[in-house]
Amino acid sequence: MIPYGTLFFFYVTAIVLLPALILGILEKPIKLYGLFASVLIIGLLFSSSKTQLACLILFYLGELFLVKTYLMIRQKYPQRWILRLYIVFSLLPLALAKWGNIFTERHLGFLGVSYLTFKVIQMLLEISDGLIKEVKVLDFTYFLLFFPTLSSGPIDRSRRFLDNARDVMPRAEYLDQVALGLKKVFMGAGYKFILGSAINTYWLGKIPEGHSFLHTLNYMYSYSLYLFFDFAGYSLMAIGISYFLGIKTPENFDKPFLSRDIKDFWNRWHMTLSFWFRDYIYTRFVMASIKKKRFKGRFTASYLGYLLTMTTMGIWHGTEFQYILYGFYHGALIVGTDFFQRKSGLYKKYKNHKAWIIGSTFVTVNLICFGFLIFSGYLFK
Amino acid sequence: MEEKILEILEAISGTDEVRNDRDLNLFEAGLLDSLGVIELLVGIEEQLGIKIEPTEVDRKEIDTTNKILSYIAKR
Amino acid sequence: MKRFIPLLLSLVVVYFVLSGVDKAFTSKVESRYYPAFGDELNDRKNQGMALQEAALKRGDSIPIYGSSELSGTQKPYHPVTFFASWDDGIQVNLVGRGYCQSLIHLINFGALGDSLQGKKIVVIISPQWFSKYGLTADNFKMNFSEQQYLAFMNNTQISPEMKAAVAKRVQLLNQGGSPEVNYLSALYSRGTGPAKGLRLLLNPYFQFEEYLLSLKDKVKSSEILSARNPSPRQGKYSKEKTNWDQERKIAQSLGQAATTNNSFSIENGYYDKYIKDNLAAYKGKMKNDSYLESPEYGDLELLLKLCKELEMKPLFVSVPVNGWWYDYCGFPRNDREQYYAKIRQMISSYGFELADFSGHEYDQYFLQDVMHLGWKGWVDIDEAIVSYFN
Repeated sequence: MIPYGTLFFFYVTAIVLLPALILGILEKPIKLYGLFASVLIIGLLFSSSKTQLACLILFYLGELFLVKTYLMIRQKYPQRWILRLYIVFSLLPLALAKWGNIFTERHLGFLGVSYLTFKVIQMLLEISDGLIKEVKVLDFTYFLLFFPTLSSGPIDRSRRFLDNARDVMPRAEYLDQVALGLKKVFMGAGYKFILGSAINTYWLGKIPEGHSFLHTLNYMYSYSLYLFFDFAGYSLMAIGISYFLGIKTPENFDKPFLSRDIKDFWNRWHMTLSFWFRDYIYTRFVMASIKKKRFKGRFTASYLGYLLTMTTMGIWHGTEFQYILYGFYHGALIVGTDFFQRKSGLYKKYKNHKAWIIGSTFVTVNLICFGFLIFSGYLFK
Repeated sequence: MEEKILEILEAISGTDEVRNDRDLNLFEAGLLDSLGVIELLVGIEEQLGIKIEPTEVDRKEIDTTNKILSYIAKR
Repeated sequence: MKRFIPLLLSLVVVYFVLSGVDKAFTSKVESRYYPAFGDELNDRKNQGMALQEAALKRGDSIPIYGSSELSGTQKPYHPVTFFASWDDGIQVNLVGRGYCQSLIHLINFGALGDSLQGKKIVVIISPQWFSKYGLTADNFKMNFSEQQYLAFMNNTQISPEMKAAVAKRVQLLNQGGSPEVNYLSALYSRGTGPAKGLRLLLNPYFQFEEYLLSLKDKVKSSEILSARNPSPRQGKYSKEKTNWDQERKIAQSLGQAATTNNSFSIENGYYDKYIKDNLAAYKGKMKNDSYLESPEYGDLELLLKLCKELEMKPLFVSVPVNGWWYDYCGFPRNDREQYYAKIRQMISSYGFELADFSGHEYDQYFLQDVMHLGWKGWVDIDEAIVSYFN
């Protein structure tokens, strides 16, 4: 079964959500049932590949072990190097999934491995910060294996997720959530299966072979739109289904093509991913740099932080050249934008004028689409 | 303590608007951004000895001067 | 409840749109269908239902279910050529291609269900189906139709035992195929307990999926039909005038002229292409082969049982092999004889009619090559068809 790919998935999901709906209406906690439903759906998702299922189970056990032991060790030994070691260990499955083919024929990854890894690292970092003081096995399991967002996010945060899971909403509020969730599922389906697939079939798929300037331009715009409708559609459906289980999974997209500048774009595109990188890489790097006074200039740490963060984001997509370049491209754009906005008198004077906003939105959307053109690999074929 | 926080905010944003309009949304006005938040947290830690982890606060909890002041006061 | 009204309204709209499309395309397929479409060997026809149903609605349509012998439609005595006239009272409709064997045909029959009730049809059985391992998964998946399978499983006329037996076979052969089909097979192959409950739970999905596939089938079928530009043709057959002995003589001379470069009565082109260069290698190559042990027997048994359940009136055709060639390859003659006898026995035990041509192993020009029906073979089958249908 392919998640969000076949009618069968939606039918089974609808059936599995029915008991949750009843629990919600009766104002009973949904958490335990949600966990059961997740395990059931995962069983179906992985029923066609035993290797993937085995990888997932090993991943789950290994990461649970890491989180539990780190929680114990952290009390006595707050040293940073221990945290770093743990993060390296937690990244091992992802590394095996991406580069395991070097030493084995088998594909060692499984659906969702990179998204689940984010969740674990978030927990390790917040244990280190003292924000997470205990982790129950059931809580960890539910957070990690929550089926609506298993395959491609949105990436939730454990404390927020578990607050939702513990909460029992009043009936009226729950029903409002369900109605909203339903709307999101239908909207998401419209984005992905109607708009996204129409763009793919009738526009993107109809571009002739050969890289003329016009073809490339055509590809750039159609691919960008396709990517948006496909992924935003998926995200909406995942969020909508979460609502049935009482979980308000965070939004992932907010009209990204209307961004005024690149920094604004990353507050609107794949938000849960970019916020994750902002909070756990950029912020940490810059904060440590300022405290340790690593750099002289006030903005040096910030600029290096942007480049580091965005390039890591690129590599996370894959180690192919196009992804690394994509990350670096966005890092450089953010640095450039930041620099321009701090220095330019013109910007400070006109930034709230309508013409300026329209102009910068136009420039931004083209920069974004060019980024996706790099990302698509079309230029390197 | 309030004065110190206001000084830190002034230094970060480079304007006294933060002092005069205490309900102004600092992110929307462009007075605070990712770097600004970090500088704010580092400043508070270094000058007031209050350690706040960046993931501890949500942007919505500190998007005006007044909210920042009351957030710190609660600590 | 107010907040769910838009959803209910949109469901109602979807329902009306779908049934509108359904009605429109059902009548489109029926009105665009023309008799000579039966000549075509077409995947949409084989794996869909609308085109077969449109043919069955005609009183003069005779479906012929078979495998690779159906191709070669340009031959003078192939039924589509011989019965080509649109007003001779017989319109054959070919369904099948290579590796369409008992299991594929029986799923198709069960899917068509009512449309086949009381109908006379022809099923051509080839000895080569009955090899030791039967259908391979790849050959099965090539011809398998999810739409027909769903329709088969959703057909309430078919007994649960039949469904369980078919589900087991499909489960075995559909490895690596559609996961939904595999779930369905798993649920039907176990008759009792939780499987029954799950089946009930998933039944609406399988019904709806069948409906969607049938809509797609109707749309595609109608596109195919509207792309054709049929013009009436003339065939040799005439109810009053056809003299079968005369036709056999012509077939004999046609065959003679076409098989001049070998001593096996194999058509020259086929001989040059597949045999000439490897002649020595073929000698004795099949001496360990047998058509007596094969999963295909179980499938044929199911097919016969299903024809009974659906009250169909099939005419089975038992095709021989090329005796000289099989002897050259060392395939035991005794084994072949037992195979023919087994087919005879199975079909008569169900009381169905059999056009048995197993005695024509050494009948020159009956086959056109080592196994496919040829000049005289088709004349005999044409004659059998006429006598069966009148």
